[in-house]
Amino acid sequence: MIENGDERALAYLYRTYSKMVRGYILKNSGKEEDIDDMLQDIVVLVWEKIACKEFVLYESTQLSTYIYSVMKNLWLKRLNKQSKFTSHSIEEHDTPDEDEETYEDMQKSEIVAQAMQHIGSTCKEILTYFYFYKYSMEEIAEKLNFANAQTVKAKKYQCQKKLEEIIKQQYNALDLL
Amino acid sequence: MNENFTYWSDLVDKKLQNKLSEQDSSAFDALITENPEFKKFYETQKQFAQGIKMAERLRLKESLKIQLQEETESASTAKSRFSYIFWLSQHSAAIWLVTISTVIALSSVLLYRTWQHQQQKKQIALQWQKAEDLLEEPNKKQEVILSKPDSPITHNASPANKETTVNKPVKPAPRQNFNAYLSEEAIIPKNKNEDNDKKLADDVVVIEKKEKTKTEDEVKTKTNNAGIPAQVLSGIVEEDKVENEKKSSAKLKKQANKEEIVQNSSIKEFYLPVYALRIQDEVQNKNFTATPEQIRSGKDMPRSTKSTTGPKIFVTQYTDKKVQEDNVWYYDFTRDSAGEHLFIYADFEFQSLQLYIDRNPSPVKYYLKTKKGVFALYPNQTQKLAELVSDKKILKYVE
Repeated sequence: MIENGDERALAYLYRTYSKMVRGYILKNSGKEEDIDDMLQDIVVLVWEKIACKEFVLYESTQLSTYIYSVMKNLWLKRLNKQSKFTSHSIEEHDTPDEDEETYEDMQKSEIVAQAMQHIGSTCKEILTYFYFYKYSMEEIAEKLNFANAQTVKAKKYQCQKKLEEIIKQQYNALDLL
Repeated sequence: MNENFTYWSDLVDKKLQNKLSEQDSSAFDALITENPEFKKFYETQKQFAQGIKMAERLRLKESLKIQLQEETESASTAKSRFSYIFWLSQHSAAIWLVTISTVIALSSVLLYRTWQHQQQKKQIALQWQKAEDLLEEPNKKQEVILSKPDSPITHNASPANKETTVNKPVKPAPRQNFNAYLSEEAIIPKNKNEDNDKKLADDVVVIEKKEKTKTEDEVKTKTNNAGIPAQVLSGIVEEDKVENEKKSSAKLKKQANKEEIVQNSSIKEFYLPVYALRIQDEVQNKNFTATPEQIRSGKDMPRSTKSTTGPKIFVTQYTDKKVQEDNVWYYDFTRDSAGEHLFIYADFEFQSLQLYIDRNPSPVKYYLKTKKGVFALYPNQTQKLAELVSDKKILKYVE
């Protein structure tokens, strides 16, 4: 379902693993209000991973095991963020992890995400397939019925420029880029 | 620059998609370190990539929320539908219950009304049947019954009384009085009894005519056979004749008076005729039905043949102006052996009369049993009783 892009799989994953997630979070210093956010993040992340063509689940590994590991990592990251945010107020000069997004990066990502709502559907699909699902140019050309990968590449360049213009119209370019 | 940009762009895309080979990766790292312009380009592209990922994640989350919301709504809709169906089933059950109860109640009322109507019809039919029976047998329903008590009658009248009786002639009722009564029938509103009344009246007239043709000897013989002293009977007959002659002249006048009385009377039931008087015949131990003529004349009445001193009861119609005016008729019961006169009133409200004669105590007691009770009658109180009746006072019940 996920590989075919059937988004009903999202609800299926949510319902199937909600009990497991709930139990894990409540046992690990979590609260009731954390469960829904965590479930959504886990489901979307699993969807993202599985949707990538490179995702391979070994035969000996069950999906629930993979989801459990995703949940564990996500929850630990969140706990780390919470602890760092708390300690950050105490130790102001603490340097962030390279892999971790900074608050500034988060803000910039949100600006781009909002700008994505204003570009055309084709641009949105090309950029999403490329950056989110990590499709190759050939794959995108095949999926969106483009002539070839070069055409997709040129179109992608145009879409990026368009996105950049939208952002620059709303925000000061110097602030963002 | 264009070449550089294309190169950088491909390199950044590979980096962002993690498709850099080990060789490219080292070149990439050197490029970032050495070229600040590329570093800026990479950072910008990286921000774009992060933003695009965030946008898709937000879209997927929104899609998930919508699906969950739809599922919740459909579940709640299904629940509400189930609840509605459940409510409807309960409600329909209640409706059925109320409907069935109403139908049962209405059916019960209808059946009860039908049953009641049928009962009323039956009662009306019975009443009609009774009325028809009454019309068919008026003599039976309206006759006056006289019977003796269960204990054997033993006559114990004193000789003194006998003498008194013999010497005292009985006052016979004038025949025109009964005829006058019969003539009153025309005044009474016509009903189905009218034919019977007329028939009876005709019978009485025939009897009267027959009696007129009878000789005195025949009367004497009959009474002698019955055990009545000839002197008494002849005296009665003589008296009857005299009285008839005396009052024949006043017949028309009395009839006129009678009609006037009847018209003025508010109690018409007093004029209900007594067609016959049933008397227990002590000799034959059977009831004897006396015709009005027999009652009036006292002839052919039952009597005792066992003993000459046995009771003979016959009835004459006592006539008195005052009594007639009060619309009360009296019957004079006379025992020939004792010579006593016992006035038995005939209140025509009573549709049956029974005379009980108890001879054990002295003097002889007579009980008049009516529908209103049993009344003791004493020979010396008859006049008083008659006055009570004439005053329309109810006699006290005597055990």
